[in-house]
Amino acid sequence: MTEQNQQSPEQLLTQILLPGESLTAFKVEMDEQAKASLEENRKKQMEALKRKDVDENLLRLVVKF
Amino acid sequence: VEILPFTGDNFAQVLANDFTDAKEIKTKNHFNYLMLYLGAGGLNAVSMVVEKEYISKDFLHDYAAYYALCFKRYDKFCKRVHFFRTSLTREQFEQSLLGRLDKAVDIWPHYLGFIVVKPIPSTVIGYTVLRNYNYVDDQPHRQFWGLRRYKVHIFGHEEEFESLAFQEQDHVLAACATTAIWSMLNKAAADYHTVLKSPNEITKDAGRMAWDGSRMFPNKGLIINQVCQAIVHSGLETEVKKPDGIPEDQKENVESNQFVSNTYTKKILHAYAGIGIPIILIIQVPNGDEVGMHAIAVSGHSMKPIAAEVHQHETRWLSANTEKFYAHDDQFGPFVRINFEKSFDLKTPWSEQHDKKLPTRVKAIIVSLYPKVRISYEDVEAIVIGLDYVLSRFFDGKFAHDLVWDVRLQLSENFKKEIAESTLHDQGKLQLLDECMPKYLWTASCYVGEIRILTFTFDATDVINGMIGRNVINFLPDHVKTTLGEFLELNKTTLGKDAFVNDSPTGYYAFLLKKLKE
Repeated sequence: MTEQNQQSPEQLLTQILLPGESLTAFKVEMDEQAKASLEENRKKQMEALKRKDVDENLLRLVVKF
Repeated sequence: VEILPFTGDNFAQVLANDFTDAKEIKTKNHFNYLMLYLGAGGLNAVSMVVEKEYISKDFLHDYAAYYALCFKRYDKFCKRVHFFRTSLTREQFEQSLLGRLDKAVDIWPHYLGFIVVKPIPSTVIGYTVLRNYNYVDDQPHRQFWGLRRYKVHIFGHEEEFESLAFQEQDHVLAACATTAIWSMLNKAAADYHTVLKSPNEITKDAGRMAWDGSRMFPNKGLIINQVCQAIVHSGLETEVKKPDGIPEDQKENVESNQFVSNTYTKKILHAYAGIGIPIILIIQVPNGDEVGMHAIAVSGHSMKPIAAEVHQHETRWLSANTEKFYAHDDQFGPFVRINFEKSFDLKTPWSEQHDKKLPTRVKAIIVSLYPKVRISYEDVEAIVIGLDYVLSRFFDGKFAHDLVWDVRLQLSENFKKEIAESTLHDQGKLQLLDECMPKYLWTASCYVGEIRILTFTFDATDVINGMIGRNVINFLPDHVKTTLGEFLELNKTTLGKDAFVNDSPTGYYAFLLKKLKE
């Protein structure tokens, strides 16, 4: 992909940040909602990995048309 | 040599042979497709030059293996038909061959490629090399990545252009899967020192007998396992991508109703396009009262450009911008346009010409790879979902648009070219260009709108049990990298433990921390 934007990194950051916002380090509060979201994310990763397990029957499908 | 205007009647006549007349040719899907592809709405062919006796090496192999041993007399000489996007007289053509035409009226910039016509019944379309749509109308969003350069020699003149060879399925020596493998190998053999074989040799490589225990020739089709075997015999490795869902119109969750979703197909086409080996799709197509499995070789796709996206709960993938793809379908022709519809349907010529317009669906995807590529897309996707989770927490509510991920397998030499042209500062570029890298890399770039903010690289040749991360490249100011590092340090005990599920879960968090501190 060819980059179209030839601006400085500071200009790029200003373009994508919402007005008045800045990036800071903070501790994520691990409440019930955050724990559930973390768990859901883990499930999605496992689903992606599970797609690698190909069923034997699929390999026996006849391709003939 | 015969020079003719490109018309339906003339085209049918040149495709005809002793066994199949022009009338029968006109009923073939290939004739109708090629008339559209080469016609006014496609490559806009105006003239044809017919070489009446042509030795096709590809047909010769099949001839020696089968047709020469038949009692009936089959010819070994083919015809070859060349197409030009300009009107042509015999004098013009002859003057051109003698090198006496001025550049302004030269015919070769109008050369569109050729079709070899085989001297056998019905399945007459042999080795075919034609230009693609970008030659007539170059569109940057339309990328043909599965092409190679072909040198064509015509009466002493040499013409070179990019394409991917096509031929019609020979129902005796090859099934559709064989022909799709043959097209794929045409590219792989040029780039990867893979062995290019004739359809007959490919079918032999698939196994010693057919799936039903009968003889391999005449061929009745191959099972997916045999398709993979034939590819492996040519020096590549295969990855089979399986169905991941059930279309809405299928109620029962049984194997026969499961298909590969369009989302997954788009991800795979986008991810492996960078390597340039055509990807084989096993599709379920409607044909009269039945449906059956068919194989096509994908060599290009077109995408909407990257744009600002609203925030969504799910991870966003750039591959979702894929609108259509281009495939060699041996029952129709080269570079067939195929559109995605709904969540599982494809708009193919099979569906369009079917009475009830039943959909075409993807049953499996066969990705052929150089053996050194050992890490699959799915392995990298899982890591990227983890990265998206961590970054989304850090950027939460700060950015106007959602994060979009561009995940691709590529040669490190191409990755370096991309870095050299990127917005990265000079020192960062030089550091990466100077770095010794594995031949194949998985790269995951994170965008906000059109702006690339971060790129992660992974060693595609490593083992998945380990930690395969290599680089974290920051396109934003250095202080963002420092702050992100501090954020990860602060949340090490929570996110660090559970953000990644891979075999090396804590390894990825540690990798991020280490790279952000560098």
